[in-house]
Amino acid sequence: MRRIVIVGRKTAVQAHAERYACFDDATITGVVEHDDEVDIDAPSYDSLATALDAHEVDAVDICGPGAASTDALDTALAAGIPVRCDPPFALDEQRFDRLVSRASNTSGWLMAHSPHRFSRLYERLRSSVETGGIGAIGVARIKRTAPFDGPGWNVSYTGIDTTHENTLCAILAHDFDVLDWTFGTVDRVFVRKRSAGRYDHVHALLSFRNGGRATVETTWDSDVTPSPRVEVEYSGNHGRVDFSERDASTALRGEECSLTVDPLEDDCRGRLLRTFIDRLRGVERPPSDVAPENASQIAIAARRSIDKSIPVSLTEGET
Amino acid sequence: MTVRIGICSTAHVNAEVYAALVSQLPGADLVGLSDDKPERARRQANAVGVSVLSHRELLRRVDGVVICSPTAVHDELITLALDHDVAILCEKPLATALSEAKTIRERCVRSDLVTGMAMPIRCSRPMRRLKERYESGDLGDLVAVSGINRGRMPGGWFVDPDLAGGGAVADHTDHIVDVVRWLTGEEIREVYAETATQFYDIPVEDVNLLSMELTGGASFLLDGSWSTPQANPFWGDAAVELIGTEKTLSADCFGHQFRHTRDTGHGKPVESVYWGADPNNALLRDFVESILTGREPVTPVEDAVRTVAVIAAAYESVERGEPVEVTY
Repeated sequence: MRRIVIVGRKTAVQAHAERYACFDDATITGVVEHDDEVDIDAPSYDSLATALDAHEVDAVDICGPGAASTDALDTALAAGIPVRCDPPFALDEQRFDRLVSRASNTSGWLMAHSPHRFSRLYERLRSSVETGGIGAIGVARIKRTAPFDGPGWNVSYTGIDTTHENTLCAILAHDFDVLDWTFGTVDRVFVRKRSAGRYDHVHALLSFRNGGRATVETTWDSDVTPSPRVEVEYSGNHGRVDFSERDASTALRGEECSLTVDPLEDDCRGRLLRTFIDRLRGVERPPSDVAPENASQIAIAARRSIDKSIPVSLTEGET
Repeated sequence: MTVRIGICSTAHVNAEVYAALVSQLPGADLVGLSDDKPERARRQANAVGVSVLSHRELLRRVDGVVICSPTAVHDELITLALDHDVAILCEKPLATALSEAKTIRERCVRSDLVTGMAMPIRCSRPMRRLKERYESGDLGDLVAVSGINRGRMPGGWFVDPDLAGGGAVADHTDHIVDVVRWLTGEEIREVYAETATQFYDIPVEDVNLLSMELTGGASFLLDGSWSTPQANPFWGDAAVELIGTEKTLSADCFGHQFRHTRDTGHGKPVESVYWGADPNNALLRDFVESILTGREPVTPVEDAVRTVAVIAAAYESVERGEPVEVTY
């Protein structure tokens, strides 16, 4: 039985707890939450350090981007405990280097994949790209209002920082991760951000090392949870694959909204957490102790691009 | 009064479309088609029951021409039309270089003739409705703009850098940049471009991604790549999304489509058929009305020069690898 402490905001923590409850080889030994009390049958702590003092813990699950829970990440890795979080796990290079170094020098490790990688949809898209279904990538295009479905998802991001650009970069990081996973290394990024009124918006232009290009756009409503909306399109020299939220969410609908058809343990987040538990059981460290690194690196470059209004190379710093 | 219209050059893929529409247009008489390569124009002329003439012969017989030549030939044909006191509707972009576009503009202004650009998207009903909503203040202040105008790679002279002035950037920057300027009343202040040749073995770029900033500060992303697969059931798209401080609205010019699947063994097996009001038809009606009334056409040449300035800035950005301020 793997003993896990979960950290994060109420809605995200609740969602993860419901999934862990479906697994018979994992149990939640403590909850470190940032806001109201959650309805979980486990003791609640005000910091991860306190939780680790109180229990034997096999792993820490940060429910949301790691960069939103910097203390917890530091504490867990310093204690040599494996951690899972969403990307990005850092928003600046110094912190990125420190976390990678810490993960490499202790028995802890960090798994920071986007849940999208564990969605059957993205898996199929990637598979069709890998098997030559669209040939070499020309342009990938992703446009979304939200990375996840379900109400209240955006609360996972509210602690990430006080600035909108960090929130926006954290949302973009999910698409950076999937693009890097599907099309290979991103070489250069240029990002513009605008914030005003209800809406914040960011768009990114990515250049892949293999010559392909991509655009990622995110619109964020800072006040309310926006309706989930996503358009994904991968165009290559031998064809195109694409889907929109309608394709992704209409397997079952009721009263104007889509309803989940996958059981909790088998949706993308459930499959992500299953992978995390399996990795704990096998005591298998990620190949570089931190995996993946690229989505967080691109998010850091994106922040610098916004800040300086220049394209930023991932390999050589600023272009 | 019937307005006599000619199609000057059939090199552009739209020449055939315009010829068919003008031949059906009330108040207009399609006089003929002209081309340096008459054999190229013959089939189109036969289809609408008119003659193939030399450029000079055609210009002597018409009140207005639609110029559908390669971009590099625009200057020559515009000059010829102006010399014959003939109104002009010119395919886009106006010229392969900004300096040339400015020279053309000056000559057009001096002539006092009706001169405009073939920008049908301004005539699209969804875009007109979007403009009304934007001007009503529904959206609040503009935060960001997102546009797409992808298409199939057209081949031919479109991929000859000397005749077209470039590839997808030259061919597919115009419509959405023009319509966003028209919708918002703002100019493009800065452009950062990512281009590549990824889809085809051609001497110009087929990837055209532009990150822009409007004068009011809103960001503007445009994908104008030749990324539509040749086998796609529709030629491409033209859509704009406006994100305001209060609301987000989008317009899809060709959203009115139905899908036709054929099981007959001939023709395309799957085709998406556009059934909305045809913006090309509205564009040509506007041109005919401009000739009748002497008013400016829906897209004056001045606007075309501004779009050429954005295209020039995009190519400069590619060369410099950084954002470039647009010089008008």
